Amino acid sequence: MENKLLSRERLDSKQLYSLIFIIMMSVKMFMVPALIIRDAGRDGYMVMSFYIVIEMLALVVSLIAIKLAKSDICTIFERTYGKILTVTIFLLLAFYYILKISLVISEVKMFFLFSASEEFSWEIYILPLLVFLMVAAVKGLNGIGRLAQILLPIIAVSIVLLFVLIVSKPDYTNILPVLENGTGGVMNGIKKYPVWFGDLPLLCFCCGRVKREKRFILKSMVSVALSSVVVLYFSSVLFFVYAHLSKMVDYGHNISNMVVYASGNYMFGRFDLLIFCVWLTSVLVQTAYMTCVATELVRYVFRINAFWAGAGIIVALYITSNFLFRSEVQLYNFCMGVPRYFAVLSTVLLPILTLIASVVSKKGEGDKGKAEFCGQENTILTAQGGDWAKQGESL
Amino acid sequence: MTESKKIRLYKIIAVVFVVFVLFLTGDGIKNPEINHRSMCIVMGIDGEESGVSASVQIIVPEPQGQGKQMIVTEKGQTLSEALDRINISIGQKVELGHCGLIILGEEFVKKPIFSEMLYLLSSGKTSPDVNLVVAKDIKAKEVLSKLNDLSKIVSEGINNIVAYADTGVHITRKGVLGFLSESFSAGASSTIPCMELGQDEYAGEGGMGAQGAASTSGAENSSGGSGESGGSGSSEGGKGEGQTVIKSMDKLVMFKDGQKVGITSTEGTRGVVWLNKRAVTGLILLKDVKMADKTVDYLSCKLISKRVKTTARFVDGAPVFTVKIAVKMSIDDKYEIADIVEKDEQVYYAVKDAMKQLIISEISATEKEGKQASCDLLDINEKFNKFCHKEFVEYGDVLDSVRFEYDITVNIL
Amino acid sequence: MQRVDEILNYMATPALFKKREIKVGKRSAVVAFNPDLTDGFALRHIIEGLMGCEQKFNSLYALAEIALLASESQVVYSKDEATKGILTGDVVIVVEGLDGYLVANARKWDKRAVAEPPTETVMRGPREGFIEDLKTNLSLLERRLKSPAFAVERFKIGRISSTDVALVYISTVAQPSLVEKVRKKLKSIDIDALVDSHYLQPLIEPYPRSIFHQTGVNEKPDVIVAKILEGRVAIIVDGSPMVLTVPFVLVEDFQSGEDYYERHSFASFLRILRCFSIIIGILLPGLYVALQTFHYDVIPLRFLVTLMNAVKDIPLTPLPEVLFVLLLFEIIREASVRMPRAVGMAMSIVGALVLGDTAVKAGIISSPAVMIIALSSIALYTVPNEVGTMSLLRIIFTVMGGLTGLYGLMVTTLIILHMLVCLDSFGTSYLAPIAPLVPSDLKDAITRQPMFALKNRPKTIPNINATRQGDNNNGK
Repeated sequence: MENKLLSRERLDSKQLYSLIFIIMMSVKMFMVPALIIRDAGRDGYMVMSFYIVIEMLALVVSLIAIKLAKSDICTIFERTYGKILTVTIFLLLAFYYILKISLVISEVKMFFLFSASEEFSWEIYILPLLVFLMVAAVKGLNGIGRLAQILLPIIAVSIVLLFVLIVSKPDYTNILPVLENGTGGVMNGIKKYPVWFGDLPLLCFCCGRVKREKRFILKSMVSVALSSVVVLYFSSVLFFVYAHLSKMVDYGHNISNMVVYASGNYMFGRFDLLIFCVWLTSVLVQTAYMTCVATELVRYVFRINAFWAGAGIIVALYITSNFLFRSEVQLYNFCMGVPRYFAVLSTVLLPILTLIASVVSKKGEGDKGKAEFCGQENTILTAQGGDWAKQGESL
Repeated sequence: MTESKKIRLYKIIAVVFVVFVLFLTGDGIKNPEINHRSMCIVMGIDGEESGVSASVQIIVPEPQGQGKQMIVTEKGQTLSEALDRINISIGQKVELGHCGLIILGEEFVKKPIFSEMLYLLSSGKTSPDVNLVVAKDIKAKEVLSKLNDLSKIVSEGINNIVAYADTGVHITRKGVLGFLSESFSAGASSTIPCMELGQDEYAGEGGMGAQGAASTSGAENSSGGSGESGGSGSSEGGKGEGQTVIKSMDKLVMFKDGQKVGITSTEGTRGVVWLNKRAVTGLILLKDVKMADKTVDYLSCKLISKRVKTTARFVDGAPVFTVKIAVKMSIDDKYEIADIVEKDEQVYYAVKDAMKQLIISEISATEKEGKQASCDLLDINEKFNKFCHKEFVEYGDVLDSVRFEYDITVNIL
Repeated sequence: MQRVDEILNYMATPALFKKREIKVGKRSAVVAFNPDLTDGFALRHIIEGLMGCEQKFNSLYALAEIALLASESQVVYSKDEATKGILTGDVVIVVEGLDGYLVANARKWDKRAVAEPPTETVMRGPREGFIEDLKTNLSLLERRLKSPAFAVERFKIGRISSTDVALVYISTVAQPSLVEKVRKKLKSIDIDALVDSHYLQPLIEPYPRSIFHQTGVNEKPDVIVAKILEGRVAIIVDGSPMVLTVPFVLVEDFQSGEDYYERHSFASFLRILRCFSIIIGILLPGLYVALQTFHYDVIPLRFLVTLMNAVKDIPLTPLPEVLFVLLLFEIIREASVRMPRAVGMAMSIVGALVLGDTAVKAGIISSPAVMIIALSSIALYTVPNEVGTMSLLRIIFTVMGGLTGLYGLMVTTLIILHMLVCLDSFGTSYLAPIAPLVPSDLKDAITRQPMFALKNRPKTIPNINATRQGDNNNGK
């Protein structure tokens, strides 16, 4: 039987699982635990658990939507909700994602400022990162999927190493007493930090672009469950270690700091920083995916090609990161304001709207032949004939 | 856009990027190279009338590979100001990333030290687990200069402040994060190892030299004591009469609300170490062990493993603290019992009993000393706060009224 | 004869070519040839055969059958083909009264013997390598693939050079669409001359400006045979010993022919070692500079002190120092390849001792820097095909590490990885079977399973016949 050539514009199932793992874990494990601990103290794991559950539910809805969708998200939205509403929703989402990407970029900056180097001009240093995001966004989903797939084992090894360094050091009984100061801190945490969560619904933008295998929803949930365990463990350890000093935790404190504490022996050098930098690639992969989504939204809304959409996003990110907010604290405070409502809407409504649109479009005439991704037709070098969903092992 | 236009655009962007980055390096890169930084390996903090003084022991690189060390001291209203003045005085930035030990002067710990410790923790300049040691009856600055003399030069190893050699001494090491965590816990108490310097009694006979196996952080390869850190009875300098040596490091300074309230005895220190789950090896010295028809004055036993479990509960409204310790050990001084080996059981029961009594007496001594100084040495309040939170909130401080129960199991291999 | 004169007068130097008038039976004939390219013995046999022909013939085909028994010959009807024949070294025979030109093979080119290629030496396995002669190269392959499915398509590429190019594949294995794609690419090439197979590379690759090559290159027939057995097509260019194969995946360069002549466990170890070496080779200088400049606390204290002592009086900062040492190494490497053998030894001593040792003693560069770059350079040569690309990457990583530290290294790694995952070679992803993951192909990617385990051809390379072994080999 003739073997298949590879498709250029699709994610296959394994790439999707890798993306799910990375998206679920990276930003949540990065800096936000250091923020949550200031409100919720040792009970911060409750805040994390709450958001994790919400995201898992959102993911289930998103995956069902992906399974049912025959076309990409722009097409099904346009068919279901009309062009004007679709453009409005996508424009708002684009702005929101630009803010979110800026937030992640500022966290990367904070990490390197705090943990690695004291003085550098971020106006220059951000440039290579923006180049990467631009290239990733313009090249599209397939590149990011493969990047996630190839980095996943390396990130997994770094997680295992970090775990080995940390596991025996913290006092796990610091989880007690539960809710020592009541539920106020936990509720505060839940209210303030939605912007840092709600990443998995971004996968709705993979509608019509996934080569699904059997039981892909179940396998995706396994991936997200593993990821959740990792997030919960590492963030909880931070909460336990700094349980009595929650107000003293600064933005730069994160898992890396904890590993330094746990590894104990300064004679060996801060090799934890190397391990953590390997892990940090997951944050950048997620940022690349968000940039890709934002680029497609802008492309759809303004009817321009991917290059100019990506360039626009990059310029917006540069301005936001360097000039719009005077400091990271200002950015964080802003994100704890109005944008958190967008975060809630994006986390809850986006999957539901996508599901409805998938169902509606499935009931109508499905697309046959060429698939569109937000307004641009792509030629696909794919298998000759056959439905990808029915294929076994995909390439 | 056509292919050639794209390529031209990429070339322009690449050239602009390179020019931008390379020619803005004056602004872009401010980091000095490593030999324009001063690496601090030990820091000392002393209290002054107003403010603090910081002393740093830094490595001065030498081209021939024989690096030397230098001590610089400056005063300031705060620790950060003092460190900044040090930078100015030596004309280079002092890097604390490799600082493994912070010595606190006697005067410094007489008032609350939270602000300095919190500065160290939150600034990220040092590791959160950098070891703390209090110098008894001496300034940290003097400790640094005295120890600089007796230690080996840096090319043979790091300037080790603690030479760990003797037997029967236990200590629990404490880092900045650990100190602050305990201070802000329910007991509001903490401890820091206490170091005492003195003159070498055997000067001129050639001692071993202060070749510490490790500093307080490298206790894994230390022998002796069930504590983690290096603590020695006497580490010899061996360079001449009047040589300063570390006289003892087997006591703990007690802190309440970040301020020194007393110093434990050796026995009291060991009680703390018994409840330290990480101190699982070391040498224990049993005294006056009666076995069969013989009394052994001193019997050395080697601790092989230890499991500790503490339980806090309220029984009829009264706090009860149960200490369960399971110890595995072997008898080191086998020659002492060689002649009574045929009465194995009696020997082993005797040794087990002696060990149990030792553990109980040492923990009791710790309890007593803690109560006297109102310092929760064993973290009892925190345990009650965690496991019986509601009752603890109603009851309040349990330190004075807590009853101890012991369940000690000793296995001799 | 006029037809012959037309051909010869068309040449820039007609005097270069010779013609001989003979009698073939009752007809006159002219034999035209290039004495520089024609074998005298073969020419004599051809002329003797023609002159000794007593049978009647009424076409050139018949004449060829009767008279030219031992020679390859063909009849062409266009002047251009006859011209090309003479230029190639063939003998062109024109017979009075018969249309067309009879072109008989009488080529004799000096060529070197089949020997072990200098770029790929092995301790075990065959030591034959391709040479510049297309015919010999084809014979090396044909000897190993005695199958009717072995297909060879010939092309002539080059307006002036008319270089013979052969497209080689196995018709029962290679995917027809792939063969068609390559065929189209070759036919569409419009170039003056094809001097070497490397001229073809940018003309057929989908991303010619990428620093990563998208065609495989090898000099050994056993390797090429193994590759075309997996479904690839090979392109052999007359005049070049380097044979191209497509599609190409990066993991191929980490494999060596010798891997298949060793035990699979050792072969796997060697492949992993090569990967590790490449990573060290690319990243080590950048990491060294980044840690020194930005992240001194990653370096263990004792090593840090040694480093501080070593760089104390060096006038250059870490980045320029390492770039300078890199430049020195590249100069030494390039010079050692180019310089005449007579002065090679002396100049090597100058390079190594004077530039390396003396520069360190003079305090211009530090010994850790020299050691790092030396280790990196040696590590790169574990994968010789990628040395050029990896050397460039090494410089990029060094600059980024020196300017931006671990952050820059991280971002640069991601950019390079992203470039790699987006690259493809004739529809095959460049990083397959790792990304996209093809689990069945991992048996012979970074590690190698024993031969009996490699039952199916790799799915990464398109093919129409997946099975290559029976089920009962070694009872497994």
